Amino acid sequence: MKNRVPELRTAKGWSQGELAERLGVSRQTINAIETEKYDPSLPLALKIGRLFAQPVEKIFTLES
Amino acid sequence: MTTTSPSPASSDDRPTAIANWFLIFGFFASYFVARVFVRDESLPALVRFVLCFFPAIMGGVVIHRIVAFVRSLVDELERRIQSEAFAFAFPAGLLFSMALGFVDHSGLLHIDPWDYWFFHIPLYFVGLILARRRYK
Repeated sequence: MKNRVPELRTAKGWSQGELAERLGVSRQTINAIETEKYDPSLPLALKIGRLFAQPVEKIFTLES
Repeated sequence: MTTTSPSPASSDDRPTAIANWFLIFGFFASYFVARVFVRDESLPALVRFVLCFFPAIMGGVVIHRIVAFVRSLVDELERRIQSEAFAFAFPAGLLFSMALGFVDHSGLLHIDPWDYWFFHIPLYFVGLILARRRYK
């Protein structure tokens, strides 16, 4: 699954650690999501969407 | 949804950790007590029979604590890593036990079947290393 998390995070000027803290997860989780090694759970994806004020489907997209 | 600290465990307090170490120590102690006394023919048969299951009961408590630990992890990736480590360790342990059984059966090397379970512990750490590497 592709995602725009790095782009959105950078636009906010946050480090991976700052984003992790805001979401209540580890920096390792954010890094794994950004490098597309790990797909977040639905609750975490929804939290990411809420944090960036964007619908989840605009942040995460299935690769065709 | 939890929005608490990003620490790996929500119940990572010192008393719990100490209690867990006591449980692990208790498990090993029960194992060695059982191992020494189950063959003691001076003990009543019922006591020896109960002793056979004593380590398994203690182990059951340890398993309960392990499952509680994994479920208590706040960080979902860490929960995934721990689950993958156990998912690796269980079948790998079975296969390793099978291989040790063949080695023993072949007569090339005698490995006491009592000791097979002990080899499962490092396999969990191998699983943990592999899972961490996957998500690094």
